Amino acid sequence: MPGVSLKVKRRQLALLVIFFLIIVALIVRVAYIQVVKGAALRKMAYEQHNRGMIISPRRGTIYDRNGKELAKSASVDTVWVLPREIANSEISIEQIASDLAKMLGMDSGKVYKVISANTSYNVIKSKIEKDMGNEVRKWIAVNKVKGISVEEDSKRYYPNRNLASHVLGFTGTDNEGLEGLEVILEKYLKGIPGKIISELDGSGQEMPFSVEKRIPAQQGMNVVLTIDETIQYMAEKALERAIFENKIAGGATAIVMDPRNGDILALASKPDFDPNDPYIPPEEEWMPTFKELMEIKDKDMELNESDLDKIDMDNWSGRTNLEVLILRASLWRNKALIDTYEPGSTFKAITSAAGLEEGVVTPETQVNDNPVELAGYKLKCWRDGNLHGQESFREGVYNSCNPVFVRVAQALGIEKFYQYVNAFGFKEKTGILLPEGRSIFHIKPQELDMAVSAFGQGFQITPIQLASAYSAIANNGTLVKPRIVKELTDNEGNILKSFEPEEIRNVISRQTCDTLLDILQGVVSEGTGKNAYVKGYRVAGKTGTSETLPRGSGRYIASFAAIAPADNPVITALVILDDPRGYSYMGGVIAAPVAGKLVEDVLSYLGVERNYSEKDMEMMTKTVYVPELRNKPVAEAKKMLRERVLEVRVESGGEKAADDTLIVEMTPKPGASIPEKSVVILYTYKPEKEIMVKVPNLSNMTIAEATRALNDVGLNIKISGMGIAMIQEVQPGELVAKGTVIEVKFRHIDNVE
Amino acid sequence: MYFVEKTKRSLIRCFDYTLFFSVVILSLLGLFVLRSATMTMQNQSRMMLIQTIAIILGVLLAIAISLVDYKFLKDIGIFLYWGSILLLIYVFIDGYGEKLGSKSWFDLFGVVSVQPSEIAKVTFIISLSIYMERLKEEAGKNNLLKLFIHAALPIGLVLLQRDFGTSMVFVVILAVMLFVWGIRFKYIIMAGGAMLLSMPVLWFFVLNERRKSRIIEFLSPGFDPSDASYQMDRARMAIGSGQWFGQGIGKGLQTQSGGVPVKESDFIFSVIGEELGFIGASFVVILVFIILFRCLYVARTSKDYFGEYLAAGVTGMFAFHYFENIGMNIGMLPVTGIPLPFVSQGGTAMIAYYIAIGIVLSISTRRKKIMFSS
Repeated sequence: MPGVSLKVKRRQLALLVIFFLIIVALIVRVAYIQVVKGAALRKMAYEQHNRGMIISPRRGTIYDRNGKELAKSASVDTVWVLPREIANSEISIEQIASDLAKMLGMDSGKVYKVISANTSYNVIKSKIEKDMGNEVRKWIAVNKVKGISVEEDSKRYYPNRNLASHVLGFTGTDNEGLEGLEVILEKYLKGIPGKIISELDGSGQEMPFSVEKRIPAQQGMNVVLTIDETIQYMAEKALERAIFENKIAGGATAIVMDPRNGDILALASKPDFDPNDPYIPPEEEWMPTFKELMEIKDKDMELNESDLDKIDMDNWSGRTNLEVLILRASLWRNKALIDTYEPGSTFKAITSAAGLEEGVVTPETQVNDNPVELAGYKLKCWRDGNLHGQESFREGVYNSCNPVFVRVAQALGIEKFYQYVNAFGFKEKTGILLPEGRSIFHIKPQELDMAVSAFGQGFQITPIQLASAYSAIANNGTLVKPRIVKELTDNEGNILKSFEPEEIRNVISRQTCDTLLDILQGVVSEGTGKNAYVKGYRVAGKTGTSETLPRGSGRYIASFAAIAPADNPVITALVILDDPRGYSYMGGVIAAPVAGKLVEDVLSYLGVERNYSEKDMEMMTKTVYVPELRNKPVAEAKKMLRERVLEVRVESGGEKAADDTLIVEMTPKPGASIPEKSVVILYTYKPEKEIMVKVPNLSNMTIAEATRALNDVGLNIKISGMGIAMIQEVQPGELVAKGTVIEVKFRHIDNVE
Repeated sequence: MYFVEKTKRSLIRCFDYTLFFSVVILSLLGLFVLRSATMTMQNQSRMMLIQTIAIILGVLLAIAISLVDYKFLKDIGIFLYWGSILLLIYVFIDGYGEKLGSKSWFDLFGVVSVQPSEIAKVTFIISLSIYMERLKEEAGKNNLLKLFIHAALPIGLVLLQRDFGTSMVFVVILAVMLFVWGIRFKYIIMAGGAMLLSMPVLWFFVLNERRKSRIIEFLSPGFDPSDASYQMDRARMAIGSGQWFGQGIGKGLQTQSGGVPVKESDFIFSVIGEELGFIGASFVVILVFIILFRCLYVARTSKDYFGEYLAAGVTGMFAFHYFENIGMNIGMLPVTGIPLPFVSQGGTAMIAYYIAIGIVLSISTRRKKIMFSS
């Protein structure tokens, strides 16, 4: 046998040396990790571990000013597993998996995977209903299951669904605020999470394994808003009706404020969303255009027009970047705060305030509406063909003549004019807690810029800015910061933090306010704002119609700003209808009646007493309730109706009914409220079919004409508004039962801007 | 006749007690650590039972094999080789384990799962030794090509199972054996060059994303917050937490809370580090050195080439396993699925390693009486 060569032996020695060096390296490295870095790594390991199982805190409730719940957290359960303890159960892990799957409505294979995972804690299912959670708790007790625990969790509910959705916002899956006040007030609402820790205390001291430490969660603070749920509801309903009647394509907004302390009583924006389910896609009509998306997208987001075609509505998740952008541009957009627009004639109140305060005009100053020529432009009155001519300043405001305001501004001068613009807060954010848009003004305005601004064009502001400015006029000239959150409370009702009303500055004198309010009241009673007139309440206000840029697009924004009652203001209301495509786009025709009705509803809800003027009394048609006449003899029925100033017509199926014949059927039904002199039809037989009549076309009729036209065919009228008939509840030509009450809306369309 | 021993006395005297007891001590220590590591697991008792049986069976097998002259392996080596090749092919037909990264197990009688690649490591060493001895004795006819084809077959099959780590073991075994066999330096340099050249090929065509991420994570920690870095972080945290004396068996925070990944196998060294501290970990490393040293010593003192190559192959196998496993646990090497021999859970591997030790013991028992004579 040959000897082993020396060469080979040297190689084995070399291997040994290599091994030795590697071993030394390993030991050095182990020593470095354990001895040098050991303490730090140990601390890290504890921290990692002590994260433990989180018990989410109950999120605070959001109340309206009267304590009604707008957003609340319902108690739900989350089922957790501690996989390493599960083996100590009395039943097998397979059994546990299949039982849990059945109770929680999950796939048992999936449950098995979760509960047998090699982790310390795992969620099996989160946010299940209490009933389901209790069922699992019972099952744990009965089967002596270890390692499965049911812990309290919470889930956000918005009981009024869409109501005040833009103000409230919504929360994500971990109950974190994502939009609106839910995100702004996150730090107050969220509370402090609790946790379950095993093994170690905070100092890293070891404790026996079985010890489980439980740090309870601390509930978040409750938030009390200045919003009044009922007023919010009124505002939203008013907008919904207006959108329907006027075919509004661009959305609408309404703000109701208490001018005395800046409290926002209602902040409505349409379209809106249900915060319980905020990711539902917008209806086709509210789909934003590519341009609108480009305006609000983040700088670093890529967006091409072709991307919009790629959206698959069937697979809409609401979570992709583009889908979220669409939601932000449409349903989630709080138009009342974010949108900037040209206020148009509503801004004339501000120009007037400045002019009156500086004494460049008085209500009786004689002015005229001849066009003003400036820098090659001719600034004309809206009634260009038939100028108002010589008039007092007061009448100039009633008639909303642009040149009148241009001259006032010119008399003030650029510096003074913009000083008032600034003082009314148009160049700063109002400071309401929610995100606001930024108003747009010329940086260095020239005279022409100012002249155009005097009647509300050439710059853009947010609705909330205008509402605040009107509130200052209503509040003796003091601008107050709009307040939407009143206070933070705990569950016992203790106030933890209160947000006091904040006066910003005094803008105009009390006297100027009184004068201006008097003029603005005249606008409603005699001028362009007639459609906002409310019997019994003195409403001051100003209409506004502005064509959106580019001019000539035929797209308008109709608005109306109101203060009421004018002699002692309690509310300021602003209604804006964006892109009306119905019978009119004029603020005085379509926005004024919405604002008038809203003001009437709110004042009567707030219990402000009506004070009817003589003119009101004259104009009022009394309404009466229809009495129950069935099973009464004809003679008695006739007598009862005469007492109520109602006409009667008896249908007896041919022969004349005897006075003692009993009445079988009647239209309108008992309890209906109808104007005096309406006709009630009495049947002495059971009509197989009620007699149907064709509804006449009432358009452009006066109240008297329309009433006669309906009564002639045996129908009754319900009058709403004044002026000439614009909208009838039932379309002309439709068949309705004789005696039916048809609601007809009348509007002033003469003498509006 | 290999089965007849001339003197019983020399057998007892030359038996490598150091190697044998080092392995047994490591196995027993491993059993305790494994028990602690699997405390949080569902099938702990079954795992512990299999491991205990495997150790007992392994020790008995090792002693039995040590009593037999290893030369009989020359006769059956080629059958063992083809047998294990068949098993490696069989897992493609009826194997499982895709979820663990590679399809390398099959069920034997539906009771125990067998990992043919573990068995193949030993048969690979045996058959290569036969070849190399033949090549050595027929000096001049340095036909390495056939040897490489012979070696490439099992390596290829393991690679096809997507078990990259195990195929590395085969390559290292081959390299160590060739080195000891006396391959010329020019070939070593050529092999090194080929490896460098093959790296881009491996990177772009062979390695999957997970394996790449392990390597990226190793080269630039913190680059990839995925699986690989998570495992390394957790392992380092666990080992570091052990500090000097460890947190005690069954008391490791990371281990017992499920913080350490694959703690019963690939990352069991982290459990040792956390629960037994630097003292325990360095004790294991020293035991490893003793085992490697003794195997290498046996190779050096073998009375023939066959024994020398066998022992060298076994040394290479253990060296790679230990260095790679401990290295990845302490963040010195990228993560691969390589267990810690005699400690990690796994019956097939345990028995295969004991058989390897038995072969080395058999060689040592029949070693040359006079050492360092030539």
